[in-house]
Amino acid sequence: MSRTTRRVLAVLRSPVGILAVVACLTLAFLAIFAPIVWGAAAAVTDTEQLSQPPSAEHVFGTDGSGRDILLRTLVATRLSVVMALTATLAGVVCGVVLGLLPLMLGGRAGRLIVAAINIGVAFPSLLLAIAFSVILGQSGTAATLAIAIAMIPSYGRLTHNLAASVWGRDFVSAARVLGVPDWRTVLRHVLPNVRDPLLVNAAITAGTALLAFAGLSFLGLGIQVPEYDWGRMLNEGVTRIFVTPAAALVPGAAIILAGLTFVLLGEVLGQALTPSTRRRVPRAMRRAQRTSEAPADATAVDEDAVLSVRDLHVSAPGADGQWQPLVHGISFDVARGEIVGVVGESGSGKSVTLMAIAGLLDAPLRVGAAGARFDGEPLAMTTDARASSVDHRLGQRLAIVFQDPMSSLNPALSVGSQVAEPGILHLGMSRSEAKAAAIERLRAVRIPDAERRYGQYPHEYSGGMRQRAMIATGLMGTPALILADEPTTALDVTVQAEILAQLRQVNEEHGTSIVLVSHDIAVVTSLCSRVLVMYRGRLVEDVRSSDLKAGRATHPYTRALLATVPTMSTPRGEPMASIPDDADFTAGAAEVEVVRAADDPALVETFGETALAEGAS
Amino acid sequence: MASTTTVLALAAQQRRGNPWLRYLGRRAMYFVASLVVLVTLAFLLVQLIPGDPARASAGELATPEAVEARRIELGLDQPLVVQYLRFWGGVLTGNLGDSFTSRTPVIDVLTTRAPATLELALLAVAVVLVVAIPVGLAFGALTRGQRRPGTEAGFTSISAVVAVIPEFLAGIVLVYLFAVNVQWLPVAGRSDAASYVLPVIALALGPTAALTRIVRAETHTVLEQDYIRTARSRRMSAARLYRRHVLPNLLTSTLTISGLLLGGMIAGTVLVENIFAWPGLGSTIVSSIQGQDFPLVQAIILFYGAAVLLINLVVDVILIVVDPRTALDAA
Amino acid sequence: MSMPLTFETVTITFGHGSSTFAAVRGVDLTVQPGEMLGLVGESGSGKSTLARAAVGLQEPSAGRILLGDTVISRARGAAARERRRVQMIFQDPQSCFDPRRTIGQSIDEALVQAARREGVAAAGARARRAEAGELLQAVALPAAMADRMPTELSGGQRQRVAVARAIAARPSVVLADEITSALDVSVQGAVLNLLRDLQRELGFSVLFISHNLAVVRVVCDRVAVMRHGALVEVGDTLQVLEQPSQAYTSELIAAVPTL
Repeated sequence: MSRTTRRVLAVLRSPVGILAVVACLTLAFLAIFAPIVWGAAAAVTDTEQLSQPPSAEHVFGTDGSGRDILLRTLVATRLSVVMALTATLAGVVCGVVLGLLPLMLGGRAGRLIVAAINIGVAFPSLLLAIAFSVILGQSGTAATLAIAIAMIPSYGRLTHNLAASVWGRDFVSAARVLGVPDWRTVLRHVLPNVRDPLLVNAAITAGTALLAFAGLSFLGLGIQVPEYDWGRMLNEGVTRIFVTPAAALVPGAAIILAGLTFVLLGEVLGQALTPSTRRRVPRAMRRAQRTSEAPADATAVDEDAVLSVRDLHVSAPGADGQWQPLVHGISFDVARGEIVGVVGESGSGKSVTLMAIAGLLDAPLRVGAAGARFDGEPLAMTTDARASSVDHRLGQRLAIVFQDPMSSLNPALSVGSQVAEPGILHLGMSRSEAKAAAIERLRAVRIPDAERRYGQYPHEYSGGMRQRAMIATGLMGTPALILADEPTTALDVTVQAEILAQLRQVNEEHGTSIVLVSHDIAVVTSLCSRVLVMYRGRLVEDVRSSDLKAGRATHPYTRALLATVPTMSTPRGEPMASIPDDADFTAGAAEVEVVRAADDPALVETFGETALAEGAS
Repeated sequence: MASTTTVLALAAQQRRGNPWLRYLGRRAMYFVASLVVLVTLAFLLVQLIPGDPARASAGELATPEAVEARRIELGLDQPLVVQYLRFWGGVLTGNLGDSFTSRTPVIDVLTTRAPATLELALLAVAVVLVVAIPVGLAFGALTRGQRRPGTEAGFTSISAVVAVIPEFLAGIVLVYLFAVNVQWLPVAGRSDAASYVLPVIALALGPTAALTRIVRAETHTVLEQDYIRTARSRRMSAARLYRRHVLPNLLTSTLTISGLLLGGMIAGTVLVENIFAWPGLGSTIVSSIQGQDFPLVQAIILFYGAAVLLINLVVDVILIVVDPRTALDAA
Repeated sequence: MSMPLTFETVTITFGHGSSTFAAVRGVDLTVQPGEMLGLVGESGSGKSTLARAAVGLQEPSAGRILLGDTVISRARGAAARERRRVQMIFQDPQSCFDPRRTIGQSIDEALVQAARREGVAAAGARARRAEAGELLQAVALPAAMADRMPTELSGGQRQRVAVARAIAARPSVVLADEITSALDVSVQGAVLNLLRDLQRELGFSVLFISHNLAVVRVVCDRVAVMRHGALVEVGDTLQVLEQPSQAYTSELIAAVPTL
């Protein structure tokens, strides 16, 4: 059973799924059988019983011509649903074709179609439907056509937007580079990747079409007597709402129920087709989240260090209802004025560790520590506890620099106002004092023309300047510690060197300690005096930078990782070292791994036996 | 792709001239192009309808001679191009011809009835924005990071049901509940403030639910952004975080959607006006379609279309003031 | 098998009229048969844009690109078919495979297109499947991996499959655009060793685009430096990296952090 099938079954078994299936089946059943079974009875006009209230004979009473309201509502299902589905099918198919054509044709013709779609989208579909029903006349067929035409632009736009974003992806480029014709690339690679959202939207569109039909018929522009759909019944019933409210309310309820059925179908399709990235956290786990994981043991904490962490744990809820550890009980200290680096590969838990210290981890993660102190005072190690509260001590004494300076700055606010914010929040500055201070800090991190730059937005800054602005924000207070999470990864090498120099300068001038997290060992050793090496959530080595550079690392993983970093003195022409996919350096396993790696000819060559053998010894 | 983006960003920086102005220029061009399409469609409307406009104008019982005289009077005997240019002349000078039924200039009908329609639409949009943004933000904040699953389920199902209720059904139900049953509010017409309540609610109900859902979803998206983490690292109160850092980033998408909703609501007035006998253009258009009063139909469709296009333009201009990036991205 | 890929004063611009921006300005560069030519420069220097022009994903606004004697820029028909001898490996392993198709199907597409280019009937499905398996083994992956979906592979494995897909098209030149910059350093070596071994074995040439000078120094025979769309210098790798003739190159080298 494929993963998709399993997901579909799981969704169908959920309460929403069951409801959707029941609703769809009911609707289908009524559309097929109601006219056959009750068609004749619904047409009977009983002149003896005009506008009767509900009775045993007529559950919801009779309308102005003495016909049974319930039966007529049931019989009208077929026309209402069939017209909505026909219009949707026609509109969706035309919309998809129109939305894909620009990519297949390209060039001027493509741009013209896109422009036409954009103009069409500007007009609301009800307005388009009314205009087309003027041209096409007032009948069920005309209304179907009018509604189908009216939905083409918006569906075309949706298709085009989805397809254009797929078109920009590398796998489409790869197919085009291989020489696959554009039309086939669209059909083979683009369409299957936009199919799911299009299907979900089609279900919702069907609901909208049903409502639009009811609207047109209600206005008298759709179905004409003697035929009737729900809208037509409303049209007739609303004038008599004082006499027999049921004549309007019962078909109205039918419209809403049928509309909901399609929305529900869309919802269920959406759940079934898109793999959920969210994981439901079981209630018991959620409760556990609030309790600390490790027993408190504050005695071991170093009182003199600027930062001292004991037995830090971070875990995430796993698929099996168990907590999956991300950080496995690590302890370390950072002395005043010290620059400490944390290295490790993706998934090693280095950034998570940093964010846990910063108090920025949020539910559903779970954080706990035996003890933690920052700047002479205890630091609460939980999720969420410190994040949205005004904490003047942390606000002034702890600064954080994030990886991607573009996404880390608020795009809707000027850079200057973001730099100035800590001044207003924690230092009791007025707006103008904070501005003056922020301009001074921007100058200190060498932002040229700081006064003009103060009012500019993040997109007007270069990558390096954004990162300088982040550092300037940290300098508004008098930070005892800067936590820097991959601060140069998104930057060019020359800019990287400048940012590292900037951090070093802050450290030298203010005695600020720095914890620098990076995947790049060279970056870490060039700035830090001490390096913490993390591997699969564990701290495997705490080593002086000079020892690391001199090849005096002791842990096999550290040595293996070091061997893989190419430098400007790595021998050329020899195979480069690498760590095999299945290597495991968690305590004691290293030796086993070396043998296994050596069995695989491709990996022996890639890794180089010497490096592994050294690492294992 | 990353480097291509960089190149394009550099390209944007190097371009001479003000990108905002260029964006506005482009946007204005789209507006004019859409207007041309609209006027052409309105013109074609009369050409494409089955039946003879001259006959419709002269009346069912008119003699063939009278119909021919009418045809010449209306200029329908002229070549299509001439008719088209004349139509444009009429649009630009505000002379859209006379109504077939009332024999008065249709522009008079527009000027007397349009205010009622605009009033209804704008009031309803104000209600939508005033209710949907705070409520959506509040639910977004309450249910962030999978908190309060019960609240979330309740919110999503109730808002889904309300969003499905079309304005004409809301209208009918409201009339039944408040005007027929308890008789608190007037059934129909436009007079005192009380007469506005039901039509505005009927028109605003569905869009409010839809926008609230969108604002809530957008709140979740914004809360996951890196810059919110940055803001949280500055240790501020939750109130300040939402007001200063979340809200401005919601506005772009909310305004974009609001523009679309407002366009849809302008169209929705047609239905609501017919329920509440609101003396606007919506009740007029239906009677004129059924009465084959083509000049009036043409004029009203032109009005609705132009109103919607204008709203889109205004929303886009507000957008670049609120969020200058949109202009740069689009330029 | 291998032919020189020549860029003749290639200029590539974006935008129209007064808002024109030249991403590549008059670049003259030749990738010699069988060599690994490094192309370095900072983001926005135009190195990726230049490569995309060689495979037809971008049109040069001036100058031309030749493979051997065939002009492959703005090419239609036979010349466009010839251009398929130039293949590209992309940076992002997340996005370079169709998430709806198996690894085997993606390689198969390359095999079919290669046969079509050479004007021969494509081998039968069974034969192509066997060939896809061999290609996977050539990049040190089990043949059975052909039935896997891209999401089931690690980033390093996916980049190896990307190499397999590129060589399935029987290329004369392979453009490798930052192919290890999204990978952990611990798996970088495996991917690069593979590319180098296959190059030696099959004789194609490689334009190796990277911002990492240390990696370029290890794997490339020659290196070209770009800045703001223009070529700064070209030469033997050791020559350029140890005795750069241009100040900008020295600046780049000085900025590389050392262990």
